Amino acid sequence: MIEIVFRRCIVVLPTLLLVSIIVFGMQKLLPGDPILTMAGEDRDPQTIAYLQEKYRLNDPIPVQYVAWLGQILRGDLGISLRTEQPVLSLIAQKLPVTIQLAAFAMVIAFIIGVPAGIISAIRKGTATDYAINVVALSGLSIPNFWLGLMLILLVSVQWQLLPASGYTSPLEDLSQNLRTMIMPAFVLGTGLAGVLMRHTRSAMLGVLRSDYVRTARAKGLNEKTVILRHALKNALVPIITLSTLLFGELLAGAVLTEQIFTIPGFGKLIVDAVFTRDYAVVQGVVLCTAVGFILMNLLADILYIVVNPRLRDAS
Amino acid sequence: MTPPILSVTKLRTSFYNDGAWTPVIRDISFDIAPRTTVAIVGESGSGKSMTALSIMRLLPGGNSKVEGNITLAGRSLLDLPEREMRNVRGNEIAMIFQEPMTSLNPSLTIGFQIAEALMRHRNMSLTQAEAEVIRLLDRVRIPSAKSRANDYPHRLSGGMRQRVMIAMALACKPKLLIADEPTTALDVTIQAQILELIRDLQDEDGMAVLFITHDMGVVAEIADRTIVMLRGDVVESGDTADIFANPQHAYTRSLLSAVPKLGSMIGKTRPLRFPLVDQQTGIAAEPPEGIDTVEATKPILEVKNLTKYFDIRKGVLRGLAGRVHAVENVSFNIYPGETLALVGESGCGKSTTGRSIVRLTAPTSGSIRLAGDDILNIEKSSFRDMRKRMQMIFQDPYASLNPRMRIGESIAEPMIAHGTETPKRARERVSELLKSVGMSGDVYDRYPHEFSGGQRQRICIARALSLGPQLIIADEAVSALDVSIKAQVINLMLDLQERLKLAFLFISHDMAVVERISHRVAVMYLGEIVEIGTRASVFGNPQHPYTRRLLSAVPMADPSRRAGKKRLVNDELKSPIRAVDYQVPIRQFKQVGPDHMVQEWGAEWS
Repeated sequence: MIEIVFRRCIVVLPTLLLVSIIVFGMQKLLPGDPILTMAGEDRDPQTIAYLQEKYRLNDPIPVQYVAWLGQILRGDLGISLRTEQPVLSLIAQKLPVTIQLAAFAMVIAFIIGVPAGIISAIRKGTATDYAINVVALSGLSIPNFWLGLMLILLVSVQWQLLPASGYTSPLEDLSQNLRTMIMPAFVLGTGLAGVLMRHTRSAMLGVLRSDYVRTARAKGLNEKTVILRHALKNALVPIITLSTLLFGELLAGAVLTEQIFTIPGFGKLIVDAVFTRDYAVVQGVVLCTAVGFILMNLLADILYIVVNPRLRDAS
Repeated sequence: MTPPILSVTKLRTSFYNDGAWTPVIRDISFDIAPRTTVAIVGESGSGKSMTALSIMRLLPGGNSKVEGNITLAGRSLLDLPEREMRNVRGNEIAMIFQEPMTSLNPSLTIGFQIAEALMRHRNMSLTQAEAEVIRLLDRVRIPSAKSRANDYPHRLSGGMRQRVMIAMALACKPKLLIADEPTTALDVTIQAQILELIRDLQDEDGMAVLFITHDMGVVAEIADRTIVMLRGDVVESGDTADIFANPQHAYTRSLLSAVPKLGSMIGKTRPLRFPLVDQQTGIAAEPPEGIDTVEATKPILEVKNLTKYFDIRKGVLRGLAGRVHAVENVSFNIYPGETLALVGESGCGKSTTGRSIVRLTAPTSGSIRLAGDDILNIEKSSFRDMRKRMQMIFQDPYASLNPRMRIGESIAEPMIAHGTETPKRARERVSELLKSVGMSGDVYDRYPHEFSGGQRQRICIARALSLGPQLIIADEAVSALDVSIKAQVINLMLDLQERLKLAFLFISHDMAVVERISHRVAVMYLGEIVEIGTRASVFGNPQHPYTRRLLSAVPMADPSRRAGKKRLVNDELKSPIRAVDYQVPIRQFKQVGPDHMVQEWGAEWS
């Protein structure tokens, strides 16, 4: 099993390399010459030559790439043009906020989506099933920003229960942190709960029809054991893939929600960087998101092996 | 007389369909006495599995209803609340199913799955149950039970999984065991072992067995009493020996006459059609004697030293860890108008041989000649033309027709793809082809789901015929069909052989069908042909121990021959996986008779 996990990890390396090439290439393809910008108004040829030498722009592209890759591996993602802070420390500030938000949202999505999917599969074709499906479909179709605004209006403005916006670090004040996070996480989570519910339902329906579930019933087990022990574990496989992908998407895709609740997260960093043409930050963010996605896929692969004993032997 | 353990009276099971209740079982009644085996026999759709599920009350709630009376040891099962019924399931009545490959939960160890029943019904702790599990696995003769208990199902072969299912069913010493086609998915030698196991365990525990099957041979092997079902009705029931000796109902007679009986071909040299029984009158029409179709001049297919290995790679660097020797140095010829049967059990390489001949898989080495032309060392483009001359029919007629294509389009496609017919003329050809396989010519525009399994296999045959091939490779082409349909399709294949001088490579595990249809037989074991010769000679004078074992494992549709059976060898089929440096032994063949060769065997067979 360890061997398989190890192999999966190795397979990730070429993908990471490809991502780095694309990101590097993107930077080369961008219009405009950053050296000209840096050299200022008078475009002194000497300054330009100096800068080109300093940033090794006279080297052949592959050599530049290797040098750049070396920097990245040392954790140097460059300096933000706008704030003049290192990109890495910018990301290190914002990413945890979004990870917390995403994790929170996933938990909410799981708590709602998976049980709803199970119930709707067991009660297939009944009023309960239809009701759950209607709710899930609404969850999917209501845009996050609208739901966010409505929640702010209702919960913060009308009832004055939770703060409408802002962010507090959990290290500073955990309860305040939770109070600021719960609404955005709920907004993100309900949207995903619908997706999770649909997938749980169809996975469960497939498994409930299977021969081994019939065997479990023929053994005289009660329905709860049949469903939780025999069916759910096998239905989990597609749900795992889906959740890791959803989580990856959340990292970069919480932009709107973060904007509405003015949470200083990763999404906000992306938007700000794009609007101000802060290329170094955009590059760092793209690299970071890609790596995040790849790692989530790796996690999905490893979880598969944990859930599915057949894969442990697979050569 | 002892009171019956299970008594079923006027059982009627219906399903709710399109606003009405449609009965699938109509008022059937039967009793099962302790220590006896009752077989319910019938073809697909007869309601035999529904009967079992009705007794277990495992039918889906909501759109099914069960009426009548089912009493187990005096207790009416249909009146029990679901809670108490759960105490009956797995405890007083246990069940084993047809598909051992899918009936075990893939994510739980087999030991736990058996222990579950004990913990549920015997209030054992997990540790107590685990100890008992090892004893049970021993009882169903699973080698090294202690370590096997911690294995997940995918590590076990089909036969082993069925043993696990039996161990699970017997865990709580049920009064009644319901076995729903428990051996249908298994190889004959494994089937024989499982049947023997069930019989032995029944003797030890004294339980009653309700055995559901479509196979009259299995019924004759195992059942004391037999119930014949047809489309939801019981048409005949009685003592098994009586039913076989003196079948009353026309349908029973047609079932019995459609059962291939091993040994029925003694003294005959040519293939023989199955007698077809009129289901109304029950009169069997004697099959016409076939004509000699074989032209033993120039072979249509010559296979020489065909070898196919599959690499097994392991480890981080995907190094070569071994090879599956799927086909090992196989040679044979087929003449025009001749049927060569390739027989053997799962994993023996018979299908790989067939697929290699049509180049669906690339052989590792060897040569294949079709009517004298080498087909392995030619360009793909010129091989396309060769494909016209040989076609394949597959096992599953449900999966081998595209569900989104009209059947006429499916049949016409090869002709249009090869440009032998214009799309316009193809339509006429399709209707001719459909007629030649015994179907109405005007079903061109229908879709596969509108046809039964037998009809679909006819459609597949029509498609294979569309390019006018000289050779057809039929890979288990009748294995998935009901007996009576099987007989019809075989008769059709024999008709077509006479009419079109077709040569068949008939790949099958079913010895009894092979005996009917083939001129010559090749027996495959672990990738090698161990015996090859005329059908009369191989069946009449089998030499190789494996051929003998295969023949003796076939259930006889004759209850009187049951007693004389010898004990079976209780081992699994060996695996054709070899180490990388495996030296293939050089095999010697000896001549048994004219056109009958057998591989010399070593001490492993004694």
